[in-house]
Amino acid sequence: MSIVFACATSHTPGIRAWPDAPPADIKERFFGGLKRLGDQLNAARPDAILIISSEHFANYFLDGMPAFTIGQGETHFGPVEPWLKVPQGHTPGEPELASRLLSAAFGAGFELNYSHELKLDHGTMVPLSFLDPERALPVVPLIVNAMTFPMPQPARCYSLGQILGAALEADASRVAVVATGGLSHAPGERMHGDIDTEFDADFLRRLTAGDGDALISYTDDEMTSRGLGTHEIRTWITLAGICSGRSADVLYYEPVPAWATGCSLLSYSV
Amino acid sequence: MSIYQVQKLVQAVNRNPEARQRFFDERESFATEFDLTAEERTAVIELNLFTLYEMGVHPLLLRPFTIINGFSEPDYLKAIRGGD
Repeated sequence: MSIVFACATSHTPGIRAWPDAPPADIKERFFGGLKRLGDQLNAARPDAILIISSEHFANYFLDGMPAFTIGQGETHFGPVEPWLKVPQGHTPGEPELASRLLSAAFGAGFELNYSHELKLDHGTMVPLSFLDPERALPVVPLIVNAMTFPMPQPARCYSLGQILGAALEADASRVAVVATGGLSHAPGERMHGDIDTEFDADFLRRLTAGDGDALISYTDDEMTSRGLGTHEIRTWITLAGICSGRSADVLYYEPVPAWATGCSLLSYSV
Repeated sequence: MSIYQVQKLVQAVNRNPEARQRFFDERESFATEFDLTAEERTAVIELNLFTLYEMGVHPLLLRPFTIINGFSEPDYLKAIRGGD
């Protein structure tokens, strides 16, 4: 078995940039949960991390917006945000694993974008700064456009996940898979601060029930109405495809008004 | 002439330190480097956040742009909600 660990985390920048904003009990539960995930990831002794995150105009703009991009670089610079309170630097890449995943995707009819100079932003660096603060493990980033329309549909994200999951299972490397983003949030919008706890709870139910049909049925309007940031659940849906057949446990969910995000941590039994 | 050019200007300020400095030093001249309508140029030069939001500038472009230009979160939200 080559997927040795799998989890999903929120990546809202406040986690690093203003960590003391939430009340003490929320901080204890959220950061405690992140620490547990980091301990579990490292105990699984992965060779590399596949991290699935969303674009925030760090790499791409409307002069060319790819649906999915794999980072093939030997290293990746990040975070691009100097205010994030994560030191800027280079995270090691894993070009050969990235190439094998690209081959699997293309072979199955998913012509992903690829880059040897992908930059990392808060979406990857916030979780990685907890899960692997020393930047010891090589990372293959998979960046999903969950930001500008049209975006890849949930069904495509799930299918891509299933293809990557099969490729990882056949691979000799021990890989930890981390999806990041969500849950409901509306950064920079008029509805900034709104968190739809019912939507989030229902999303987590679909994940723990392994209900692929329900996960791929989300419409753009359903997500937009909860805040444009909610489209980031595509990365969790991709992970659900990778981990289809495995059971998921919710380690943490709370609305965190100080970070204006419904925050969650989830892990899969592998 | 389309929201694309406004967003292109905002992205340049957000991501390119040299463009950002030119925006700070001479906003009107910088705005002429983009194909903006008169209304768009005015909104950018005056930092009219309500108008920029209404025009459709993506929130993930607009909010960093306003951080760079010194707007606090409460002031930003008040402006885009039409409170000033």
